[in-house]
Amino acid sequence: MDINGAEPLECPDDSILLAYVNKQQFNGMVAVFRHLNIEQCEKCQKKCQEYELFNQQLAVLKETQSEESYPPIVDSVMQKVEQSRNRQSLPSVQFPVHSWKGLSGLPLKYGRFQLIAVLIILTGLLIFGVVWAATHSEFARFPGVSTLYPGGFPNQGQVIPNHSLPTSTPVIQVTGNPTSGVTPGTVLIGTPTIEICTTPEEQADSRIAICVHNYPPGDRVAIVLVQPLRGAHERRPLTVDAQGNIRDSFYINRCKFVPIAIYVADKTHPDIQGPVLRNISYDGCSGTQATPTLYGRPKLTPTGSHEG
Amino acid sequence: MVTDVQVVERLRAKDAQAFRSLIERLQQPITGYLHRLVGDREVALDLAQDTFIQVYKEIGKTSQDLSLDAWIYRIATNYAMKYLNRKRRWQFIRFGGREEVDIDLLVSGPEDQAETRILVQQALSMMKPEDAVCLQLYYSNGFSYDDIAKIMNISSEAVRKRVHRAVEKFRSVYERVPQQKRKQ
Repeated sequence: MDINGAEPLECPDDSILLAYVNKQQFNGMVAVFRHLNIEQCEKCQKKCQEYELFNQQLAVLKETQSEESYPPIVDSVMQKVEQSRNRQSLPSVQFPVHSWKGLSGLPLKYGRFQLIAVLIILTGLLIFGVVWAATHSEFARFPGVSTLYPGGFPNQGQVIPNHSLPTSTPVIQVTGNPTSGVTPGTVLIGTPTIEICTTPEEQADSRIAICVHNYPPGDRVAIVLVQPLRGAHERRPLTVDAQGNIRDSFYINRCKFVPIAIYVADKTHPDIQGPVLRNISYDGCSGTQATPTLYGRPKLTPTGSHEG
Repeated sequence: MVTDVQVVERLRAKDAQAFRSLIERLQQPITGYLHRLVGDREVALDLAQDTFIQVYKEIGKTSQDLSLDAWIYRIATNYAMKYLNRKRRWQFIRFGGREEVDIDLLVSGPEDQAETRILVQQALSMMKPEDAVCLQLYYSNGFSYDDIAKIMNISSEAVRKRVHRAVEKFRSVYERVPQQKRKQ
């Protein structure tokens, strides 16, 4: 009961009681003094005694700190101060600047943290780059701007005009007219040919392989895929081996990716026009019959028969 | 707390002898304070050096009625907090959590000073750095709640709550060990 006969106020918050025990003055002390029965309040007294007892234990904080002895740093600090005075100005050091100081002046643990951070970031970027390159190596090339459709991709089911494709009959211009772009003396082993040469392993991996023969060894040639949705796009150029062959493979995991035509673009000798591979079917999907939908067909099962 | 206008004035005048005296007077408590906060002796020494260099640099920008010790502790606290925040970020990056108290390292009898120091350090490491700062400043360095409020740039009420929270946390860790040992 307070002196006015009103109901006793609630006990002050424990933090206030601790401050009361610690004899600290602050606004919250009002709550202590308004709690007029604090001296008789059993609950408050008990708590205060608890804190008084524990305060004695907390003396260990001061004791352990005072027990520690550290080497004097006066000289090293004064030396740095002198150096800075000689330079007339210290480097602009706002509050903690260890973040970039660790590599030069601070103990190894600072630099180690930062080096680890840099390594983690670089490794992450590297992994990201590798993963990105790997995931885009097959599919990202498809949406490339079509050389056949500079105005955009054809609509669904649109037939690619024949005149946009190379002639199906190989035309080989090897020697003679220097202006034709074919280097005189270019060695052609035979008539360039193109075929599907998918192995069972590749088939199981939903891949289709293209083999090209009889191109001039050393030439840079690229397989060009003509797809219903995406038009024509070149794959990464490859170098023709000594036998005049190249081999390239790519993923076909949906019907809509089955090309309606495949041919070869010789980058070294653009005049060489090889054959065009048509009527391509793969695992039950035909490039010419592909009716692409927005989402395409479900992923092909790798157990299908190869009809290339 | 030292609020020596003459000392501040000499420091503001870049008096080397005054600065040397200041370091000699405060080096041990400041380093010990930092050591308790960051938990690493070498880092604490390093941070203490940085603190005094910062004092030398910035003293000219202060006023004559500066509460010198509180101001220096504020600089030291900022260094320690920055270090702890960075360390915490690293622990997060390295998928590490806060260090837990290894009960096996702790014994019931705090008579052994080394073990007591470990226990104190572990208890401090388990609380929020801001709370540990308040606890340290009050119980180890003898600052009042108002002084701590100035050092931490927070209200006295906030100091009161932080000190209480830190005490309860410290108690829960400090008193837990003997109980567990007794159960064995």
